[in-house]
Amino acid sequence: MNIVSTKGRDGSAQPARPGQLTVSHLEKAFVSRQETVQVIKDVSFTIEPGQFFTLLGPSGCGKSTTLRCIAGLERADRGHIAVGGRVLADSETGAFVAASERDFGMVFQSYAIWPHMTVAQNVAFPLHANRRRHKLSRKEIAARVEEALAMVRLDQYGGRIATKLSGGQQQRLALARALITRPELLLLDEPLSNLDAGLRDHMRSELRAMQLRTGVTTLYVTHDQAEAFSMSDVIAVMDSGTLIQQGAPREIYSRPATTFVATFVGRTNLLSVTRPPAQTTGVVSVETNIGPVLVNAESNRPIATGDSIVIRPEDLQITVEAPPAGRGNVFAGRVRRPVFLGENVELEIEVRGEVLMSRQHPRFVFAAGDEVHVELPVDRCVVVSGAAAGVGSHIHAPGEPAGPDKNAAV
Amino acid sequence: MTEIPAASGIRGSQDSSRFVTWFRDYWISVTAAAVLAWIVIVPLVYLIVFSFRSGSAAAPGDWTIANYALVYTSKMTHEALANTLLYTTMVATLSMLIAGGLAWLVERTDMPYRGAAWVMILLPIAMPGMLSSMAWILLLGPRTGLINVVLRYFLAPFGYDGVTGPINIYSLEGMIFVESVRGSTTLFLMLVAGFRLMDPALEEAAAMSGARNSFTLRKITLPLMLPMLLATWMYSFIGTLDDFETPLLIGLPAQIFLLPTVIYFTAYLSSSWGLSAAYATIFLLISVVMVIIYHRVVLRRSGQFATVTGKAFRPRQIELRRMRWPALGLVIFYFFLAVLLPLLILLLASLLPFYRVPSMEMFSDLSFDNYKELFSNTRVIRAAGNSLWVSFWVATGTMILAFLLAWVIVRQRVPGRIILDSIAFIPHAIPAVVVAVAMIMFYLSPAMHWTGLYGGLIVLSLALVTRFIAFASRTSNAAMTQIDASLEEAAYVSGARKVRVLARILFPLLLPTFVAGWIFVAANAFRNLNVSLLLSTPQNELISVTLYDYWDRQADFSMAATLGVVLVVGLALITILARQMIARGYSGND
Ligand SMILES: Nc1ncnc2c1ncn2[C@@H]1O[C@H](COP(=O)(O)OP(=O)(O)OP(=O)(O)O)[C@@H](O)[C@H]1O
Ligand SMILES: [Mg+2]
Repeated sequence: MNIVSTKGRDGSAQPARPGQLTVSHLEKAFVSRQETVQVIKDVSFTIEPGQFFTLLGPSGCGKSTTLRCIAGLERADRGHIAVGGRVLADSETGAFVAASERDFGMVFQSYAIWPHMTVAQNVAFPLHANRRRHKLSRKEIAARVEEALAMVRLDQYGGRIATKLSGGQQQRLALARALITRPELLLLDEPLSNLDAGLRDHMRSELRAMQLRTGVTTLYVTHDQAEAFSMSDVIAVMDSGTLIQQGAPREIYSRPATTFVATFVGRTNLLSVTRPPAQTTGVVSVETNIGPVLVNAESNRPIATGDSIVIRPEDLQITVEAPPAGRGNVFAGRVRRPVFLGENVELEIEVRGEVLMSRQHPRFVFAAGDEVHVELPVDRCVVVSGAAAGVGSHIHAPGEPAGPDKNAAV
Repeated sequence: MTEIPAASGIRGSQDSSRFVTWFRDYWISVTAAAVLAWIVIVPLVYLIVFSFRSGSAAAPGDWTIANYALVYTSKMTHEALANTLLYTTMVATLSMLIAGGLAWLVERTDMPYRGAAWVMILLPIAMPGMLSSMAWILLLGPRTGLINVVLRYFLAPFGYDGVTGPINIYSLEGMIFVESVRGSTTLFLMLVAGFRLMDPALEEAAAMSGARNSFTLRKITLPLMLPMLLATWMYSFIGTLDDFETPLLIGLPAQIFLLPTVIYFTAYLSSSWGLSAAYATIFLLISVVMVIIYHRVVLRRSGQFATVTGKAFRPRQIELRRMRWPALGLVIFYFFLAVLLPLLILLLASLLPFYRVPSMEMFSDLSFDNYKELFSNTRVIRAAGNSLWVSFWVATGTMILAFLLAWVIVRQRVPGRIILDSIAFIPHAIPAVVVAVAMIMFYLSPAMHWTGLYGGLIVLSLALVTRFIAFASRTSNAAMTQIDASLEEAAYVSGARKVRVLARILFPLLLPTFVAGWIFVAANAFRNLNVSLLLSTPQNELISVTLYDYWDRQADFSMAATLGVVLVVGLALITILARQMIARGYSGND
């Protein structure tokens, strides 16, 4: 199947391929009587054909607005949107293709199942709505509807009034409706957020399987990191209207670009850099609020005061005996509060006045007050821009490129 | 176990003490129920009984079904029924089309100046029906109507040489036109609410499916709105059925009878009280059936497709492109017909010493003399005083009764509170004319005549309370439901008795609703013509009746217009002031 690797993209002058979405320099503000809110600030990205691409970000960061601009439901103030070389919107030439002419599939958060129609009528609507484009006879339409319903396992329900379906079934119906015209691009705006937890997990894998089977290029919007991680080829993290970082799920998790990304995609420890290292390459020693920490300096950006070191709780090595001398990044600490969670144990460990979070296998037994040794493996320590204090209210300096090298201009 | 106070009746061993404790627990409920029964049930029952008797209201004669026989055979009945049906159907349909178009433009398109359009569409609310009828008679009267005069002038070169026409307002078409334009405002509000209830994603999903605007409108928007449109249509139908002012002012002079005017005519102009009661009973039945259908069938389904989502933003607007300005033109044209033209003609008439065929010369006669005369006229001043007195007490009484009823219905576990709810709802289905006729007959009857209440302000006020109790009761119930019962229970637990809880906890919490309802009732009581005209005597004349008297009996159009202008301006000012007061009160709360 055509899962496109995120590696090896250079985004440069290749001819556009069918199903490839390019968005460049998108900007959108909402103007109300009282104020103007800049909701999208210079967002650019490319989705390769067949890719499952997720926009991940906190509520209100402009994900839906970006998606709606691509759908044609909103008009961007600035920017260029094209799919497979077809220009859909361009602020310079004033080109704008109406939503009804774009021929995309879309699944809404509320599903938007038409309550006055049967299940089959809902699915058939896109074929009827645009006879010009899909020249199909009644028979062919019926066949396509049947095929689409079978695909989402709703073939038993064709004659039913659509609102009589359960939440998960409505969800699948919405998906069948979005895919029936075999669109170039599928847009999904938090389609799972109205389902209960169990069903959500199930639909997650089902959705991904469907996407792989049809090979449709997919743009998925969510604020749920688990959804993003489990389904996506590429995740783009967004905050206050800006794309911060873009990359494969694993990369986003283990190599976050900023403290915002680090804290948004999982729990993390942040250590503030108080003095930059002397050298700029190789393993360097960085002064932090718990003392010197060894990290791998990345060549493209010098480490500066005000940066943070990110280390995930599960990466901390906790031992009672001191590890053999000569191993770096070992600190003495005291267990403050062990919390047994079944699948794992969470420990708060006090190291030189700072509290580090650690997650360990449940077979480890610790009590409050235990003296332990904490090791921060060098290859797990990642230096990111942004201060540790900025957790939750991350401020991205204007003009600075969002994230190192990943947000390649299109 | 501690004893629950409400069950304390068990303690008394004798019947009398049992009654005393029962009364102590329930006296508020009982009193509210009794008042409600007295103003709603008793007059209606009397009306129905009286329709089976001969004689006059003051001295009922033998039992008979002659009244119904007469109704059945009379040509007038068939005419009136046909007219009423045609009139209500047409008005409901036309006003819904107008209101639907306006609501769609304002809510769903990118028409310019939508904020101003809102105001233009809502202003007609300040225009009493009586005045718009008068204004349109002045504009389209066959002989002296301004528009007709102008049209004749321009049509003369084409061979039109009549002294009347070409348009005649004194026709069923004329009545339908006047009432449709005026009736659209309320429907507009309902339809706007309907548009807002619909999940915008339903339309967006259609656009994403490749449907163009017109296809989406036909296949998605309209079918989804259909139940709501039906409900709105029926609401309008019932409201028009109740409408008395246009049939009276335009229909009666043209000998076009509708059911309300037939009742008025038989009772007043030909003193056939039993016959009038029979007509009123039939009218009541029709109205009740319609209202029941409306509530049991139509209203229940009207929300079936409504899907409220948490979306706080306006749905996507349809781009009108070249039609943007013509669309605004339509709204302005509506404003012109509904408010501006009627007000201007009334203003003109009020500045003339007497109204006559409009001409260029009349502009030299313009003066404010009518206004001077109006403000020094003792009859007008007395009527205005009566109107103020009545509005104040009717609003106060209605709201207090509604508040108590809501408390009983929503909160108390008194048996029969459902019945109470239904009784409070009945006035909603009684046409104004029927309320008035029932009140007259009841208070003129030998059983009540000795009280001397008939012809005074009290009976008039009671009739008006009956008229508005359904509205007030619904609003209060809704507001009471919003208030968590635990707020009250906390007060009981702190040792407060019922009266104190009502006065110190519930009343302050419900004050905003109370004030809003009070203003609504007061304003409507002040401008009421139907009930007040039928119940009027020289002693209890209200300002609306004075206005009608100027117009009808004295045929002094100029004075009528003068009084009309003063009323419209006054009502508009009060409404704006009240709106602002309420708005401030609400924003102060949160
Ligand atoms: N039509 C509109 N008018 C004015 N402001 C809007 C409109 N639509 C969105 N906004 C604002 O734009 C910002 C971004 O909205 P958007 O819906 O894109 O957020 P989101 O990232 O999808 O959030 P969520 O996860 O809550 O859906 C929000 O602050 C929102 O208040
Ligand atoms: Mg959203």
